[in-house]
Amino acid sequence: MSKVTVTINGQDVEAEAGRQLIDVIKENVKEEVPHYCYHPGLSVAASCRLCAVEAGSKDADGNVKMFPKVMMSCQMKVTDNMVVNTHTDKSKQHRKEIMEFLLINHPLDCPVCDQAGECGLQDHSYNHGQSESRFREDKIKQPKKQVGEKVLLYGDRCIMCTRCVRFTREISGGGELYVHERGNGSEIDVFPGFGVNDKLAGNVVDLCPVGALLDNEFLFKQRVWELKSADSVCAGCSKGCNITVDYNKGVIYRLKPRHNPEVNDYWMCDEGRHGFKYVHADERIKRCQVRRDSAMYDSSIENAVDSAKEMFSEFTPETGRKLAVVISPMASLEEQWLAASWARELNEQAILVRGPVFNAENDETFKAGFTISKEKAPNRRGMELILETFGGDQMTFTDLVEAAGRNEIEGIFVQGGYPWQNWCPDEMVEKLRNAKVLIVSDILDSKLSQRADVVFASAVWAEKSGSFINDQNMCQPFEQGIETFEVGVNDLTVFWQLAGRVGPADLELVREELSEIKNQSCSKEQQADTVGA
Amino acid sequence: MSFEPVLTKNVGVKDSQKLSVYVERGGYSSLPKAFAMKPDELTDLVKASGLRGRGGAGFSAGMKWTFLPKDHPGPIYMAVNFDESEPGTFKDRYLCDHDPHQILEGIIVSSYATRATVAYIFIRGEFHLQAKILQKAVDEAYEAGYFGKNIQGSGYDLECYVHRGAGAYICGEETGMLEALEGKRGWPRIKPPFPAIEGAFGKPTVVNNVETLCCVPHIIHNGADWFTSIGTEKSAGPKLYGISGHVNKPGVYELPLGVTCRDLIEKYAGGMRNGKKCKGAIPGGVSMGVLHADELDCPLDFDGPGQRGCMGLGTAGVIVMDEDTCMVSALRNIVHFFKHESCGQCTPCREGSGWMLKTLDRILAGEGKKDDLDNMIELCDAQGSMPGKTICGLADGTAWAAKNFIQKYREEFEAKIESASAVAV
Repeated sequence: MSKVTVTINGQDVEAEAGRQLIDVIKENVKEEVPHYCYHPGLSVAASCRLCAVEAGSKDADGNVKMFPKVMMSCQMKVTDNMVVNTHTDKSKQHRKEIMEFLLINHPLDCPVCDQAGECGLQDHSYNHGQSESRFREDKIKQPKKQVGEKVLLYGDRCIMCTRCVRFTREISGGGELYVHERGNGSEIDVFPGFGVNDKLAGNVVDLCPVGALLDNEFLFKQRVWELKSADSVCAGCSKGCNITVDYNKGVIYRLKPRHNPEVNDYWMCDEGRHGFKYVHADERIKRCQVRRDSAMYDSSIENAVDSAKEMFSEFTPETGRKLAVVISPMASLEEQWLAASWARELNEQAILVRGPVFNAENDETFKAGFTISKEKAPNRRGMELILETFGGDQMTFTDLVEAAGRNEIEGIFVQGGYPWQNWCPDEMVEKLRNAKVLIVSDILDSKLSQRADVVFASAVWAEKSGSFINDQNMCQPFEQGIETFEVGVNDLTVFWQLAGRVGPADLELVREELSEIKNQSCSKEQQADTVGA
Repeated sequence: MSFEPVLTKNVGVKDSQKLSVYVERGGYSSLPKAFAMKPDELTDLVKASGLRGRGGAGFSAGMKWTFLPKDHPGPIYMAVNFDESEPGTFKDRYLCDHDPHQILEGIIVSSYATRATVAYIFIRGEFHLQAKILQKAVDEAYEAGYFGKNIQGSGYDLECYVHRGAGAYICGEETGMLEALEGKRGWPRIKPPFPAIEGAFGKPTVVNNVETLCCVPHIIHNGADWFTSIGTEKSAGPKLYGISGHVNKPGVYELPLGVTCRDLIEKYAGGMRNGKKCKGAIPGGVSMGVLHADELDCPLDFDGPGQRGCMGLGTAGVIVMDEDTCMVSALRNIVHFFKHESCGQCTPCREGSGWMLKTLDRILAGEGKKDDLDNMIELCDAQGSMPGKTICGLADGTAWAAKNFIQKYREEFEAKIESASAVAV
């Protein structure tokens, strides 16, 4: 791409030719140029008319000629010798007037609106609007309607930016939404018998700059200013969409996509978006447990670790007893590494077992190329990398179950973490139980955990920091949002303590140990940027 | 100087819609002359004639044709704008009613000049009868070899389709029309790219008004000098004036460009109805604004109305209002039209037109406030919130009409507001 020089507010700026002016302004000007209809992931509509700037060009002699009208920076592509002034009296006045127009038919129901606090209308009114309106007529009232199973439309609040319409046409491809009627009677609607129900539906809620499109699952649950956010990675499939976990007081209220052009762009699927319910399920294993005689008792992690250590002390190489450790594709790379390291330190002949990977029938690809992976595990590639690195005796989970059924394995550690209770069917559990020692680290109470000797209360992805290697071999770190039931307990702590390491588990140290193998095998280490588009 | 009708010469002739009658009266004879010329020569001829677009904007037709990319490999389309929806305008309908083959002849020679290989005639949805007439004419022309492959042995191919609109004013805006032609909602496109570069189906497209195209065969016949000899220096040629409202003989009159509004009313339209005085006249479609009774000597050429605060000549569909007309109601009617026809895409137009309608309704209901007029002027003024701030010109049309009416008849608006306040107290 060739470079062009654009003069923005008197400063010469270099930019790639053909980029949208509004993006170049965003990167180079501190003061904001507001917009509604423009979204970098969608086609340009240029209809809200808010992003106006004054623009012109400079000739060879340096004479500047400006267009008489204000220009919409979203629809202009940068060209060489373009001159742009973003905050002139004229453009500021224009924005004030547009804000006045947008508010004349918008209800002032911010106190009951979910969007309040992260609303484009609120923010831009405050920063670019005016305190008084000349409008003294009655506002138009529009209906509320359910445009999808989980997408609710408050027609009153819509400002006709058409982002949602363009999304269903350009990205998800269903084209369910359209603009009904004309002029200020326009409303967003769905065709009779159709709804925004595909797996990308939730994105239209994120795209809505105002409180018109709402997620039924989040509706009236929280005021957004109460929410705290953690940058995370979705664990729903091996795509590894970059997300933020929005939580308050230990409860996750919603997941939203974070922009990452190489993974998920601006989007995420609803399987991931609404798929975090198990995090707060009653069936979560909340405390570590230890079997005394035939009953399970809650225990501290130290006590559980001590019991496990004692049981596994019989599995040194000299005893000849066989030990198998299941590495889960649901665990973080760091946890997998520590688990494998501990196993081989304990017994260099320990068998490393490939945890089961559950697959849907097919990948699902949408119009613009967004693909939901059929592989419902976030870190299969991490698991494989660890197995490859450690080598030695290895087997699949099915083989392990069979071997245990034949009484060939005496000690088993199962790293679980699957978001389904019955991931290990009862008959498999019975076979595994043939082993003398069965220790499980899992998140949901199940037959497996009920039959174990020691159960570690494991953490879900939102409760810990770590990394997943996604289906493009990109190693993506994620941050902890909420706390586990027992503070600080996750697989990292468990294996750290099992390995007899001192002090609290040190993620950074583990990452350092890991860095060499990671650098060799990951295409890149990706940290997404958080973009409020 | 007496003026012989050019575009309407076949009006009143028996069976003038028929191909045989048209050919008998010299129709389609511009084709051999056109095909003997190179397309570029033809474009130069039209440029030299000073033919300006009859659809409302008055842009040089020949110049518009030169914006097409040179040596374009793929198809170039001709899109004929027959979405005549501007209130008070009925000239293209008149041409189609009486002389549909003249339109087709214009399309053929203009398509040849622009190297277009397909012509789409976008006809207003409400023109049921005209669509039938036109389709019949197209069928006849196909049969006689005026469309299709190797037209009249010239080696030039042209297909022609009649596409009916679905009844939206906005589809008269050229890019709104192209969207509708593609089967989409008639929302005007952002420009650039202009239709000459990326028009219908993403290909270079010429968009011309019906009357503009009808002038082209006559220019080929009689030459550019003949054309410039008619009308005024900057507004050449004959023009159809549609006059309606409070006159004795409303209708379509073909006259040289530049006739004054007063002459049009008095000499041609038979004067004011019932001997009333004229209060004002809309020069050409309601979006152009209004000429006050004092301004009736305005020449109705492309520049006259513009010099008197109107937006321009527009379509030359003149609406005359007599002294009994309530200008507040008239403006309310116009604004209601624009509010109803605003496509709803751009904020200023969508919200502004509805806002103004509500204000005018309130004034008419006797609840006007003193600053209502200033507020409306603030919205509509050249530096106001609506004109020049949107993708297409519909907001400008709304604003211009409102601004003209309020400024030129301010006392009447104020009186309405004041009398209302008096009653209210």
